Amino acid sequence: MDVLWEAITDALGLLIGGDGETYEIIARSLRVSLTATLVAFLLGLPLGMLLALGRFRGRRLALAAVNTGMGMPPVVIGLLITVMLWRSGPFGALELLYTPTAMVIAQAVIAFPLVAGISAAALQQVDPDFRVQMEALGATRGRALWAVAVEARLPLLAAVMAGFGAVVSEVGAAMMVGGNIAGQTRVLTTAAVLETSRGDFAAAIAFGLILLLIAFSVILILTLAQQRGRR
Amino acid sequence: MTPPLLELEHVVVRAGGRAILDVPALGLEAGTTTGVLGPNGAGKSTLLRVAAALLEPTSGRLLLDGRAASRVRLRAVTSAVLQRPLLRRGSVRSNVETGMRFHRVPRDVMHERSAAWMRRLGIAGLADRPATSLSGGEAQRVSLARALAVEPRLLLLDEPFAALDAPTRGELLADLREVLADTGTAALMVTHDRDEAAALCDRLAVLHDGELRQHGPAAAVLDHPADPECARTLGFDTVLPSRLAERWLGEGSGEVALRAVDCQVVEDGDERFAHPAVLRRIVPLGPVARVVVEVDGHALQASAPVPVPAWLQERGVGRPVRIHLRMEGARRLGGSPATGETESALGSAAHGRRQS
Amino acid sequence: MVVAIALAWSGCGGGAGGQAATPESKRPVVLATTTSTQDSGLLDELLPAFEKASGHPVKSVAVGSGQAIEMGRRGEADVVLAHSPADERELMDSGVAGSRELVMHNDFVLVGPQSDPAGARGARAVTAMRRIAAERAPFVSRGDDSGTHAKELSLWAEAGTTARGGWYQETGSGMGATLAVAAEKDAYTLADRGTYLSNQQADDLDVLVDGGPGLLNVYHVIDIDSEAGPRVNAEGGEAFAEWILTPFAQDLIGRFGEQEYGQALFTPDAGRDEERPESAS
Repeated sequence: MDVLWEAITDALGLLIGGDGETYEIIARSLRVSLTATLVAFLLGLPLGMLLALGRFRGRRLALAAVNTGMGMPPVVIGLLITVMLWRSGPFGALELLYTPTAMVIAQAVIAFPLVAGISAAALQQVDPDFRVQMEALGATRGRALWAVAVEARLPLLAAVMAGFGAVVSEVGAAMMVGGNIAGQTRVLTTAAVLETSRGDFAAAIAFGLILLLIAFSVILILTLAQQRGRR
Repeated sequence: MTPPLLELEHVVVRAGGRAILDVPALGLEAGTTTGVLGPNGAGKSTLLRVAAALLEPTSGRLLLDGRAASRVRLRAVTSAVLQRPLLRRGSVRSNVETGMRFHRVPRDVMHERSAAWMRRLGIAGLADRPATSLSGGEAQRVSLARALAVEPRLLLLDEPFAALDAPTRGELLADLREVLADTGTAALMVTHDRDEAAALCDRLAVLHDGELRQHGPAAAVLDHPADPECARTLGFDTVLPSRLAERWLGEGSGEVALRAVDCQVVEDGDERFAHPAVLRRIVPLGPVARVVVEVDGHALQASAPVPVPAWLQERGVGRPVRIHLRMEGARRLGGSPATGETESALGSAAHGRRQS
Repeated sequence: MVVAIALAWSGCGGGAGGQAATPESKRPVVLATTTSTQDSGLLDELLPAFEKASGHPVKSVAVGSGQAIEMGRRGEADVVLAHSPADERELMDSGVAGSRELVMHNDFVLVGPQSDPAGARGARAVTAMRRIAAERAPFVSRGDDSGTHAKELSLWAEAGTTARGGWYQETGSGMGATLAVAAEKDAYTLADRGTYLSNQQADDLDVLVDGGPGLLNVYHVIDIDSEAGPRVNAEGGEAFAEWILTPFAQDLIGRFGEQEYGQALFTPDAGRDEERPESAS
């Protein structure tokens, strides 16, 4: 139990005490995960639209594949991306291994099926005639699709939140493609693992608590945006 | 002579291996309201969507003002009201402005028009209400205002009053008729309600199994069915097959259709006018009772007054009765569907025969 | 396109931190090392000093000994800092490495519960292991093919016992986690002194056996040739290998830990005769 108390005081100390390294780790965690979620959304929403509203052979198969992707272990994704980013790998020339960019890529890949799958479900909730009605009022196909997305904005924001939650708390892939290098690719989750391996459990939990706080803040902002208009 | 506002030429829509719509020719004139009647699955909504450029026909073309029309050109001059209001999240006003936004109407014009149309359709007081809080009738008014605010040359309506209760439907019908008359907007309205068609439409088209069976001025179409299926749609529930018609009404009658009310069940009477039949069922239907009788294995719809006369009540199923046909109400089936010409009422011919 | 911009932006922000700003922006040097080395905290002192002195940015990746050696062999790392002589020899044999130099050493310690049920305290390492096996006293092993694990196995071999049974547990994890498990279970384990000292969980465990040539944990630095693979930063790897042997670096190593733990964690060995206690205890 005292470990927990120690952790809480540690966490507060790190946050308020102005520990530069901690701030840097927090900033990096946010930057990497928010960017990855954004990328996953920019790619996932159009795919979700295609899967939900498109008409092509094998649509349902594709949808099932994307939904299965949600259950893919992040560690496996991290491993696959590591292999591709190795110097001897197909993308070695990009020298992306052990950089935050690589972490963004890994996290984006992890979040992508989540965002796409939930978006597809969200868009299918909208009455199929809705799109037709928008076109019947003069909307181009693109604008009609956008109107459908706006109509489904509540569950779409939920998709974003799910994606963010999944990646900001992920450690296996972040460790593998990032290397947990101090000052370069260390984020809250990998820092927590490091402290655990050093036996400093209080510090590890402290990082965990900070992560919770950060994640909550982001999700709170998103939730407020989602619930705008409803009291 | 100015070409019609919109013309369909040899329009065929195929789906699932068969033709769900086949319209050799149909013209919509500016300023007129054309109704499309037909049972469920007849292809009415398909026809509407083709006219609205929401659906590309498998073959055939559409002419706008006599020139081949692209989807873009058609969409620019049409707007539609679908069966369900399908409003967006937001206020009533923002919903009414939806179409105008798509048409890139300048903001001040947009606000003017939305205010005007909300007043016109009696929903000005709801302007700031969330669209999700409206009743069925209010929502449909918003949908109408939204479509009219775009100021289309052709307004397309897909059974817009189907989901409303009778009094709301009546009000909305009246309002719509006024609006259409005032603005001179042409309209194409899908409906399965004859009374609605009669109230609103200048012209009528009847669809069955995707085929355009007949079209012409509303009054004429309503009174002269082209074939047995059209007859049923148009309210001529009693169709005499040729054999029967010829036996009762003379040679060359062909198939004859009557409304059930013109086919009265009588106790007995002169064989020449009161034809024998077998009683099957009596179904009271408000002011008139529907009586199903059987002649030579054919079931026919006849009628009897309400309250049902004592003799009829006592007659019993399977017992003989007689039916009297009111000849003025009889229609020979088989006018040419495309041109709107229909055979004149059979009544006069038979009348003549009777007198001879 | 938005995606590309987003990726670039994220890269900029994070990558810049902690690197020496040099106008020529040298390619990063990938240093493969072990988790115990990282856990000790030594790298947190050494690496910034190296970056400042040489201008080479360093990416230090802490993995198991086996993986570190493998990364060197494949050319995924430019320089390897390891303490697993057998694996290191294989790496040298493979021909892709440059030179292998002695850097420092610390020692292993046999730690265990204060109660010391097997009577290991004060004995020679091999004797202690024999006694532990005889008593079937709980023993926690790393079991992960690391340098520490290799040393442990060699001790069992010398003691002539097979370590197998309910009393012998393998965590498959790093030193820190293994120490935590041992502390939790009041068990014996073999740890390097550096990690033991810096690990809080290990406070409950006493050092029962230390000293003696058999328990030396020797670190070598191996720089990797460009033959190992495409894009090897041989120049950077060599720079690090040279720098860590300089008096300045060796001095840093020698003083590390004094302040926090009251004793130095490592003994600098650069230039010393290699003839040292890898042989029998």
